[in-house]
Amino acid sequence: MTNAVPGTPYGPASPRLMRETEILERALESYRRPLAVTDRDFVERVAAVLPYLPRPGKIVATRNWVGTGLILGFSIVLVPFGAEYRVFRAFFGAGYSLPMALVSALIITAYCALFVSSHIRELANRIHTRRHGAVVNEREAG
Amino acid sequence: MTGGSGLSDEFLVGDVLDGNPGAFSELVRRHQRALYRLGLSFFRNGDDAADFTQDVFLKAYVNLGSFRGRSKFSTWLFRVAYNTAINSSRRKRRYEPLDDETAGNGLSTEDEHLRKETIAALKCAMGALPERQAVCLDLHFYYGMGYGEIAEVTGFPVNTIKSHVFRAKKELRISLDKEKA
Repeated sequence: MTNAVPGTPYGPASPRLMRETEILERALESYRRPLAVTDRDFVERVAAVLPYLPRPGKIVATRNWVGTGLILGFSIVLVPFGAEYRVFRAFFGAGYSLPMALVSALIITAYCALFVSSHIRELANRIHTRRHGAVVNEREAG
Repeated sequence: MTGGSGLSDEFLVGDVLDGNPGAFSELVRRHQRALYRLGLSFFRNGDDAADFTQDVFLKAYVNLGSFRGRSKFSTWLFRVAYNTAINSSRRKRRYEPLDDETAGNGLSTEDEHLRKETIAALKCAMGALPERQAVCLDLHFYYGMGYGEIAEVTGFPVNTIKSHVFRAKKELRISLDKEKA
């Protein structure tokens, strides 16, 4: 059975406490009333500028980028230990290693270039922070 | 938050990211009042507050991809706004709770009096805080944010915010008690 008397977790509240709570709530409620001065419309003002801004796109989290990069790196390191690699090497000879290494290097370079280009602002902010010790809108990046 | 269109903020953000910038107008419509009020409290000047509001929305639009949905959209938007205001060179005065004579329309005499007392008590409580922390009280008392949300917006520890709010409530209670006496 629940206690029907309003009060605190320690027991029923005194009338004085209840009155005080009510006044405090009314005071805060009156403070929260919308103000006439804040009644301005920004929809058109903002919409007029949007076409001139770069379109926002979905950003892959840095953690996911690093995770995928690690998997990619490990996969490339493990290639020489694979059965297929040995078959290809037996078929094409030692000359197979060089193009294989070049392709791997190309893949890693392309991945790193993509990462840097998509995180250029974040990286610039980090470098700025290290050099000048100031944080510029770092938290805005979410 | 869901507005007139019935769609949540997070859904609208997804819509914008999928290439429908029109959905951003609905987000502006929903949050413009709160942001403009925040701007007025920071800048105490209608034109600066309007520029600030527009600035925040444009920054939010450009960085929308970095909103990952871990917090509410409004919290994320306020974080952008808080950083914009704190870093703004146009801000020359301290953050203060906003007063407006026309706000009392429709309030009883007693409630109008309570409102004035609340504003005075909050001004006093905010005055005792470091400049960057004063906004925490308004985020709680006016915007109705929880301690965790305020911590996300401002970056201050939850316990610091709790103690500021507690002290402000105490101040308000004392001030209301004095009036009653």
